[in-house]
Amino acid sequence: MHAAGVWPHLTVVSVLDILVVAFIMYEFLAQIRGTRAALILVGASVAGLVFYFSRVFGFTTLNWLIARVFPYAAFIVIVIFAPEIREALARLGRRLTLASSSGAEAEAYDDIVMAASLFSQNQTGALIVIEREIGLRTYVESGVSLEAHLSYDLLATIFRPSAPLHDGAVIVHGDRIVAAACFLPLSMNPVLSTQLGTRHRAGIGITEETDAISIIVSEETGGISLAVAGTIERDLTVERLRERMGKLLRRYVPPTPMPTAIADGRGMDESETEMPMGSSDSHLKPGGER
Amino acid sequence: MSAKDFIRRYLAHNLGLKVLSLLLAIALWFAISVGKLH
Repeated sequence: MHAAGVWPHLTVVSVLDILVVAFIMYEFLAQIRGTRAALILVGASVAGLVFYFSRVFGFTTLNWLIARVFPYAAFIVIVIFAPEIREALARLGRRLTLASSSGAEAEAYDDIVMAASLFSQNQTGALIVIEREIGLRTYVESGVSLEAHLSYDLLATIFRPSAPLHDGAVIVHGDRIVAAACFLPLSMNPVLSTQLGTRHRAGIGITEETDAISIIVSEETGGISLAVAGTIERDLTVERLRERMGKLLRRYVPPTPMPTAIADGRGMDESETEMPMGSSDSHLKPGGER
Repeated sequence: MSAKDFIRRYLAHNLGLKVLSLLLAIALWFAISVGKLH
């Protein structure tokens, strides 16, 4: 090693340089931790090590093969990491603009929490996706356009099992319901619990592709889940959901208890079952038919 | 915010990942510096 020859060149600028690179690496690793990108990164690191040792030990053919493939690695990385890159840039933009939700949006989100409480009590399956920085137009177009003011009553109406729009996801932008009965991409994360049905996988899938937030209510257990950045928090209480949403949407949450929705149970059919798991179709209508 | 809270929230949080990132950055700087010398 040439450590003795290198260390004297360590200046204040070098230290700053290292710290900046370390910060970028940390943000990158924190971003991809727990996602499929992390597994891909491990695979790429192993390929890098194989390349290094093939050169050290004189494995000429293997070294030649990897050397031919490596120039294309940048393109492969861009394609594979596209959602993560998009998410990282959106996050950076959010930090720079210090985006926060307006008062009208804050009230609308309380309606979502109340609706989730109602669905939980009635064990009505529901999937609500809240758009943030990354647009969801592709998914909006797969459903029925509504462009309606977001309210508790409207959500309760949409997710009634007898309602034509109850199958699929509702997409919310600001204080408006943009569309209902939307198709979402299913999560392909193999680490996810096998107990999760199609609705949950769809709810997580959209958060893997975009920076959206999903609120999922299971029609089997009535459990409320929140998915963000490809991870899911299950069996949340209404208060916890409200707190998490306030944090994720950057708004002040007063410490007053949420009014609980009164479940009337009318029209909420509990016999309806979720779709079977393990479907190979990657774009299914969550909790409903294809 | 107390010093303890600050440390817990900003330093101890994801400490392993922070150390790993720092080591990787040092290793990268080291590798590049060695390359420049030759």
